[in-house]
Amino acid sequence: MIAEPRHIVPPGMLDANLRVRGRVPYAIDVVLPGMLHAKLLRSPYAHARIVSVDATRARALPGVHAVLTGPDLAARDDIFPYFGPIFRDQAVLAIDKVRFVGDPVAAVAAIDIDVAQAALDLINVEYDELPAVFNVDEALEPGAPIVHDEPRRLGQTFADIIVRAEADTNVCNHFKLRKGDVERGFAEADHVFEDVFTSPPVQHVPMETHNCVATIEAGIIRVTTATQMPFAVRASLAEIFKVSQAKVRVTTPTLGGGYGAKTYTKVEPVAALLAQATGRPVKIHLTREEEFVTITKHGVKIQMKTGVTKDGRIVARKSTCLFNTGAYADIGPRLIKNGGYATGGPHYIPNVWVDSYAVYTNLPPAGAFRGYGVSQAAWAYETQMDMIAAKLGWDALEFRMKNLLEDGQSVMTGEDMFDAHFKELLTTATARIGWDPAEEPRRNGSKVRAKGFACIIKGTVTPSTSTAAAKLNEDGSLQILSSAVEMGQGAETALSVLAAEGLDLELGQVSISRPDTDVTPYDQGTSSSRNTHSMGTAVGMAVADIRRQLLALAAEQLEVDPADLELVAGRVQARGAPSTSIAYGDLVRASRSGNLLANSVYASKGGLDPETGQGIGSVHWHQAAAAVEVEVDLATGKIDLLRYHAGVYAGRIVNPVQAELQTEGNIAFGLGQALFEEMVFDGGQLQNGNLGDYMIASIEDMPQEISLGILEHLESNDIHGIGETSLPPAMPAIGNAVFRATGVRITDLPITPEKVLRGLRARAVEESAE
Amino acid sequence: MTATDPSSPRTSPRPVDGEGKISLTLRVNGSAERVRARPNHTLLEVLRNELHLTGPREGCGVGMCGACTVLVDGRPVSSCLLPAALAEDHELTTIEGLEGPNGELHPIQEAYVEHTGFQCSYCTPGFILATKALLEECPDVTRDEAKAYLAGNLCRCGSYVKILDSVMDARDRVRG
Amino acid sequence: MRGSLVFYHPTTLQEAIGLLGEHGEEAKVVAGSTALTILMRQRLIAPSVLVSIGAIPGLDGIEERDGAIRIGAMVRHRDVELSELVRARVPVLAETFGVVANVRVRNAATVGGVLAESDYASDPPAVFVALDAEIEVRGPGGERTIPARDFFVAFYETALEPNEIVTAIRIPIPVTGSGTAYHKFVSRSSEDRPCVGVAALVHLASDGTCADLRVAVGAAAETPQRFPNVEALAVGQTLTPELTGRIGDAYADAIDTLDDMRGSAWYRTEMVRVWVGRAIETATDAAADRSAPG
Repeated sequence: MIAEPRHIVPPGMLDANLRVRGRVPYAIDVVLPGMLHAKLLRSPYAHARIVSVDATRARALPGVHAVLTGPDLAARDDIFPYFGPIFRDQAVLAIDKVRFVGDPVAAVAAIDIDVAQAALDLINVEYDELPAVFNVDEALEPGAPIVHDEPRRLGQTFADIIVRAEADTNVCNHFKLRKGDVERGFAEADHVFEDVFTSPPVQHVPMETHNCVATIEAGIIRVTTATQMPFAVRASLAEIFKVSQAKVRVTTPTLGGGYGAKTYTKVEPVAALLAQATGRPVKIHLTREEEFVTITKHGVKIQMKTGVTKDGRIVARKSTCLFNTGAYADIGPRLIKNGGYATGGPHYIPNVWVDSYAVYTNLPPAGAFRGYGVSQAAWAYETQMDMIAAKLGWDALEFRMKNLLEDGQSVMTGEDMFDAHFKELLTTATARIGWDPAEEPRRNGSKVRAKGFACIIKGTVTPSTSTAAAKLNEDGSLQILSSAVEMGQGAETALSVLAAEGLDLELGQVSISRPDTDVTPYDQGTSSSRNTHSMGTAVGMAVADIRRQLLALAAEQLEVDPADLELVAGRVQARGAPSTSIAYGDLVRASRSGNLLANSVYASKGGLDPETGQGIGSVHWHQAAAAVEVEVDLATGKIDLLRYHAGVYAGRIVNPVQAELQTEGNIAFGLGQALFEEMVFDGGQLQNGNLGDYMIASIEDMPQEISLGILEHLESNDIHGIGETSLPPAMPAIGNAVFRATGVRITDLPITPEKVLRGLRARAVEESAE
Repeated sequence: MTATDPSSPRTSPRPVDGEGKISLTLRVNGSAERVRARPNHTLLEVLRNELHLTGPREGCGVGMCGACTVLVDGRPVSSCLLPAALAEDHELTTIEGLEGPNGELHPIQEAYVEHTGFQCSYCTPGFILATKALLEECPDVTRDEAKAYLAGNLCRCGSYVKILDSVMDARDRVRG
Repeated sequence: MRGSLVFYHPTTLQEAIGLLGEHGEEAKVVAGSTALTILMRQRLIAPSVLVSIGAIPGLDGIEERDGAIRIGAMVRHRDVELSELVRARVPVLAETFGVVANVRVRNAATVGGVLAESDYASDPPAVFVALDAEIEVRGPGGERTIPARDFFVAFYETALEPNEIVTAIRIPIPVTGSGTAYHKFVSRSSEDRPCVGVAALVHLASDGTCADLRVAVGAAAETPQRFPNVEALAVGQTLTPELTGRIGDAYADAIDTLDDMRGSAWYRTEMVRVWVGRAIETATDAAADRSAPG
């Protein structure tokens, strides 16, 4: 038997000193000799045919090294100028058509940004404007302009994605879930409620915008890029350049935030093509304004019908989700699955029917965003839960408690729930803000205070794969080769902890690599709150292999049965006889292998039936609750957050400080989306694509009091992702509190003061009519 | 911002070279640096591209986020909004100017490390420089005052609780 | 090209005015450069000549003179905010400059700049208009003074003639017994610009009735809005909630509110109604405090 490893409690972040000195390198800091700078010419039209592109004058401008246009790329046989994780529907530079305001049409590489910018002004593009569609309802109408009228180019199949694109329509994908018999469920219901909920597109706003530097030397395409998915970028570049993946090298330094924006390929292809055209390193670094039209959260309209019995049990739910995926699919075809099944919520519902659609429109492409469709779903179901309780005069908490999933009950995708902590999370959250169902809103002058809460379930991408390698050096130090991306979540620190614990080393004896596709083993990507679980498991497996090797070597050297050995502080020693021991380094030297090596593969299993959406939706289920007290100014509709409790189930907390930081970060993210974040379009033209016009949460917007309940149950021996989990309940919790304070029910995010005031006026009119 | 360099033009344009660039002398972190820049180049562009100081970073380009914060004569300024030509004759401090000669941390930096007042840390140099200016102006700052002062520095990771913890601890460290 | 720009650093106003005359539309005055850099970045303007007025002496002082506070055009927002003189004599001015944007912008943006830009969503213009400030300008024809209420003409448009430069603003010190207030209402983040901003001055007579009321509303229309005929309703009256409510209603009716991301025209009208009333109440309380014996 091997003793349980001790748990290491790390400092917040291992490279904290570099970070506070401003010296941690980001991709934007890369400077290479002879490096050129790229700028993109973007479409001013939402939908137009490209008649011609004339770059003659731009090419003649001194300092310009190359100008690429869509027609140039389309004419080449040596490249495949399209990308996209599921459909190859996005041209590196628009070919034939532009599909949103901001769609790149031409690219310039020049000696500096000023010259590149000047060259853009010299490119003449002739457009033939086409009718455009911006919202999902318009896009689905018969006879609507078709955003993608070309045949769908399907790429490699993802294990967990069912593609059901409808040709000659704007349906990009359709996900179906059929659990039980929904019509029978509604027949059994005593009350049926049907409501529509909407969420607008918002932007991730990573402080570091998309950027990369590309070079092509000796046939090797090399890109240093701010991505959450180095291997997806590598695959994409190999396909575009028609070379093997071994000829593409992607490296990723620390990111200045990601939040889903930096998943899959974005700016890398155009930089690499310019590097090829110029023979020089080419850097592209998007402006904030460009970032806003690069990728967004999906705007969604969800129609939700829920049947309950008179004793408060949910017996049926039917949801139709229309996700506005914008001009290009990106990962929308998968996201609609997660967002679609999520409408089942954290409740046991025997009969569920979901139709979830990704719909093409002429808006900027929508893709992965912290919460991955679950925020939009939770906004719908947790708002509706409150609406139902209010209409039937039920205690909103008791109604939740009757229906929250317990171990052994089937979740919406059919598998049995395990390790359920919803009730514990919600009980704690409501207790922490002093929830009392009998409490009336408290009025003080024009201000009124009240409380609200919400509880959510979230899956993580399943099945998924992480691999890792471990090297134990002859000085006893341990190197982990991993492609986990450090984006502020503390991946490096968390993985160091797990690796060090496995061999009972100090954190200082462990190093974690940064992703380099030439060196570090495959990882699917740092997203979906999966890293500490998936990569952590892979690292643990590799370290366990090293441990076995050490024990075998030590058994030989010490002539002790391996079962009687233990690992203590960098040495293998005989249990109960510490004087009989040997240092790891001595064992490595004795092995004459230079280093001990181990590889590991963690591949989770699961997947859903294409017709029913039943199967294994998630390797485990992420769980969170939020409770909030708000104060609303009835004269203005302005909402202040007084108290906020965020509860999340962590399984095991690997790094307490980072767990808190991510949870606090979700509060900031959530309150922004609850109260003011919204991309506003007029005719496809973004009206607030900069940080003067688009607001994100400031330190003063934070709730006055915050408490966290990061729930740990070590006996479950599982690490749950918490990067996103506490985000989705924020919006419905705030909306529910606002309703209790004002009687105004907002079903379309964000909950602006203006909407609240309009609601108050409408109520006043109703009341005076009564 | 005054320009007292006797060669600086008054009624004739500031001379530009063949690449359309002007010569500037900037006093950054205690040393005078001679650089060439286009007349419209911002201080941020010059610090990053000519002086290779990577602590100041562009976040928004419109003075809203504070990732490019630089102290100008001790006061925080958005270097993305300041033409480099107007930054002459001022003492400029970037995050690189806070640490000691061998990378020793300033007490404010120590406080941010202690409390992990960051996640991705892209915004951190801006917060630390703003904290420095705040504590110089207001050594006994309260948590609420610190909130008001720092509200113009944005952290999209939302590390605000621990940033404030860092600032309060930094206050105690600096006050001694 | 973005780089094809020339910089001038004149050291006298005459030189600066001469340069503006020489280059006409191509030239822009640069002071704090906060708004200018943003407008150039957004390619809303593309000057080829920048005339920095930072080296011109005499534009950077704050002083009390002839019953007014005179603030030079090159004075930074933050210096107004922190000025002991301003805090003592016209506290509402310090408070208002203290809520503009963030501390970094306030350290750079100048008083002349916020005047010359005439951005409808700036905070100080409403206070200038409410306090009957006067703007000193200098041009080829010499000096002249423009009342603040005539200075702001439209979106990004002022009463400045071509080649005129703002040199200072004079803000009369409110008479004893006056109270002032500026309420900035933001409808989104704390860092937003105002949805509406209301400046008010209330002068209470010894009997507690209103001797003078001035109210200017910013950010609700193209320029700060002030209505002397409505203000006159208060004179000689006790400022009851009913009366301030009527004044708020009258301002709400009178202003043709605009629509932007911070609120629709309808919502702005409602906010004018609310915040005019609240600003008058705060100013009245301040006046009562100031005129209270002891």
